Amino acid sequence: MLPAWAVAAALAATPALRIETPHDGRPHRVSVVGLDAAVRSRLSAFGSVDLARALVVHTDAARSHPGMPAVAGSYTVDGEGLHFAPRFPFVAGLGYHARFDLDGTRLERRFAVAPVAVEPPRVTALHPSGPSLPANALRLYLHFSRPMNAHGSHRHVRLLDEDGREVPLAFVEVVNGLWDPGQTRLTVLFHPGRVKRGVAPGEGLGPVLREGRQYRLVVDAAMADAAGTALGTPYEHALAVVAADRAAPRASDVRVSGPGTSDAPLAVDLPEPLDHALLQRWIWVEDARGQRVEGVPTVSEDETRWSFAPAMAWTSQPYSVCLHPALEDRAGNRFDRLFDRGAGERTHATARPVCLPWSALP
Amino acid sequence: MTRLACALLLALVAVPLAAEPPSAAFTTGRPDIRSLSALSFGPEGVLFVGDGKGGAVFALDLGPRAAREVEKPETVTDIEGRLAALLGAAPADVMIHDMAVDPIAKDVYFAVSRGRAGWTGAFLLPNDVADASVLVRLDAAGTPTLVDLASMRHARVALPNPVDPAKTVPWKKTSLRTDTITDMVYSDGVLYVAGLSNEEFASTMWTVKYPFAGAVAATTIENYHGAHGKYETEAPVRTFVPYPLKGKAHLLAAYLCTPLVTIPVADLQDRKHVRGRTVGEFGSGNYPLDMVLVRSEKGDRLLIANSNLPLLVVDPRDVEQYPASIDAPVETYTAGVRFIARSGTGIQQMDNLGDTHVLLLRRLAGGRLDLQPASIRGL
Repeated sequence: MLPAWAVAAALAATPALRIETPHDGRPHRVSVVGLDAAVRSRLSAFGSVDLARALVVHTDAARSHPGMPAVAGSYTVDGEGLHFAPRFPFVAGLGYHARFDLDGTRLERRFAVAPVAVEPPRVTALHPSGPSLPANALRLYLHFSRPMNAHGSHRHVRLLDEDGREVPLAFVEVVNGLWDPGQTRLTVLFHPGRVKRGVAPGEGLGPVLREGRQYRLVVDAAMADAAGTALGTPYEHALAVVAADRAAPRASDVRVSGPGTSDAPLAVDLPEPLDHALLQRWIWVEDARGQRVEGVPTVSEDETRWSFAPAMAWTSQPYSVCLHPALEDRAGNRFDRLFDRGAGERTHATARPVCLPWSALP
Repeated sequence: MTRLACALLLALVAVPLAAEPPSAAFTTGRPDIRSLSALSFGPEGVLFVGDGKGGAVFALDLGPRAAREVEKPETVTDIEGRLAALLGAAPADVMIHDMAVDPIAKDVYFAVSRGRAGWTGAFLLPNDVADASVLVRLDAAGTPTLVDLASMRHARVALPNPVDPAKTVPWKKTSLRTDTITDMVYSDGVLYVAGLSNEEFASTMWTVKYPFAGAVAATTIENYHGAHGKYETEAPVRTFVPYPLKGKAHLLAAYLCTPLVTIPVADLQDRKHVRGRTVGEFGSGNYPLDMVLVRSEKGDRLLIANSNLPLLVVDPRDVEQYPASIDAPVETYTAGVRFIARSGTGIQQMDNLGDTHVLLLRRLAGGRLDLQPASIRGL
C-alpha cells in the first residue's frame, strides 16, 4: 500500500477539469488543476488568445453548429492551475462542454448547472378578504409575494360557479393586466357592463354574480412570476354572494376610537368593508393646523377597520380623520354617490373630504 | 448614423473638417457606462455610446484598424444564436439594444444584454426591458467577440438635467429614464443626442461639439401628431438624420406612431423651445426604430425601419417641397409627404454599410434573427 503522501502526490499530478457553479453569487469557474509546474509556468507566459485556445468552453448548442463562438470570459493562471471565468454565470438548464488541449494533455468534460430550487411565488392576499361578496361587487385585488409576469395574466384568473364551470366574461380582459408599478398587485375588474343595470352586456348575459350562490376565484398553477417561475399549485378562494349593495356608505356611521394613550394607534371602524386599495391613500389624519400626520396605516377586519400608528406621539391638540369622498365600498359606491343609480337620480359629487374631529388624549 | 448626411452638411456650409486631434479629455481605463443605450459612429471611427441610465455620452477610441471595402456583403444568419454562444446562454435570453456599423473596418457593433425577465408587454423596447451591459463586435466572418472595455481610451460628456428615473410612462408603466437617449448622430463637428430631460417639455435635443468641448446645449422640442390630434411635448424623437432643406441644415426626426418632423438646426439653441414642422404621418401603433439616409442612382432616399410597418422610403425632396405643416387631426392615420412601403418587415436595427448597401438586423417569418445586407440600387 502507498503512503498517503504518495497518493496525494499522484492525485495532484493528474490533470483534471474542475467545474464550479455556485448558486450563492460567487463567480462561476472552469479550472484545469493538477498540471505540473512546467505546464503552469508555460501557461503563465501565454497571452489571452493562446489561453483561449488551450481551454475552451462552448454551449451544447454552439458545439453542434460549426463556426459558433466559444463562451466569452477571462483567464487567469495561478499556483493551482488555469482558470476560466465566464463573463456571465452559466445558465441553469443549459448544457456546456469544456475542453483543455495543450502539449498532448487533452481533457474534456460536459457539464450542466443544476436548476436552483426556487420557491414558487404565491398569492399573499385577496381583497375584499371577507367570506361574502355583494352581487354587484366591482373589483378584486390579488396580491402576490413577488413581481409577476404581467403579460397574459388575464388568462390565469377565472371565476368558477358551484358546478365548477367557468363563468364566461366574468372579468374585463386586459391583455397585460391592471398591475401596480411593482407588479405584485393585480386588479381584477368584474365586467362593469354586467354590474351596472340597464346596459347591454348585463341585459344579454345577466349579472356575473348571483345572490345566494357560491363561487370560487381561481388563479391557475401556470401563473408565473417575472422570472418565469409558476405558482405550481392553483390558488382558490371561496365566495358566497349576498344581496347587492345599493347604499352609499355614510360618514356619520364611521366610528373613531381615540387611542387613549399618546403612543397607541388610532382605530377607525368603518360602516362596511371599503375598497382595500383606496383605503391606502384616501383616509388620513390631520392635526389642528390641517397638516397631515405622518404614520403607518393598517387595514384589517376584512376592510372594516383602518388603524393608524403615528410616527410621533399624539399630543393634546384636536385631530381629525379625513375621508376622501371618492373612497368606495366593494360595489363602487362612494360616500357622495352610488355607482349604479337611476338615470334621473340626482348626485352630489364633491371633491371635499369629510373630516371627523377627535381627541387623542382625554 | 449617416455619413452621407454629414458630407451633405459639410458641402453646404463649406467648412473643411480638419482631422482634429482627439481632445485632451480622453483618458484610458474602464469607462463608467451604466447602460449601453445607443450606439453611433463619429469621425475617424470613434464610437459614441449613449448611456441613458448614467445620463452621459461616451466617445470610445476603438484604436487603429484596417479599412475594409464591402463589395458583395453576405447575410450572417442567426445573430441571436451567435451571441448566445458567446454569452453562454440560450438564444431567447439575448437582446440587442442597438447596432452600428464601423465605417472603417465595416465590423458590426451591438449593444447587448442577457436575460428578458423584465419583458412584460408588446410595446416595450429593449431599453425598457434591461440595461445593455456588453459591447459585441461581429467581424467579417460573422464571429462575435466581446469588446474589452477594461483599458479603453475614452472621453465622457454628461447630459444636463436627464429625466428623473422616478418618472414613468403612464401607458407602458416603464421609467422614462430608459428614453433618456433614444438616438445620436454626429454631423459636422456636432453630436446631436435625442431623448428626454426634466424640463416641462421633456422631449429634448442635446447638442455638443465633438471632440467634446464647451457646454452641452439643450433644446426642448414639440411637434403636432395628427393621429393623436395634439401637440406632443413628452414623446422623444425615436430616430433622426441631419439633412439640408432649402439650403439650411435640418434634422428629419421620426416619432412614435408615426409622424415625420423637420427641425431647423439653427433653432437648436440652449434653453430654447422649438416646435417642429410635421410633414408626414405614416401610420399608427408603430415605433420608427431606425432611420438612415442613402444615395441611390435615383437620388437621396430616407429609409425608415419600423416595429409594426414595413420599410418606408421617403424622397427628401418631397419633404423639402411639402408646403404645409400638419396641424389638424388625421383620421386615416396617414397624411403629408409621399412614402413608399417596401419589402422589409421585422427590421429591428438598420445602418449604412458603405455607400452601396444598408445592413438590416431582421426577424424572419420563421423566427430567426439574421443580419441582411440590402442593396440600395433602385430605391
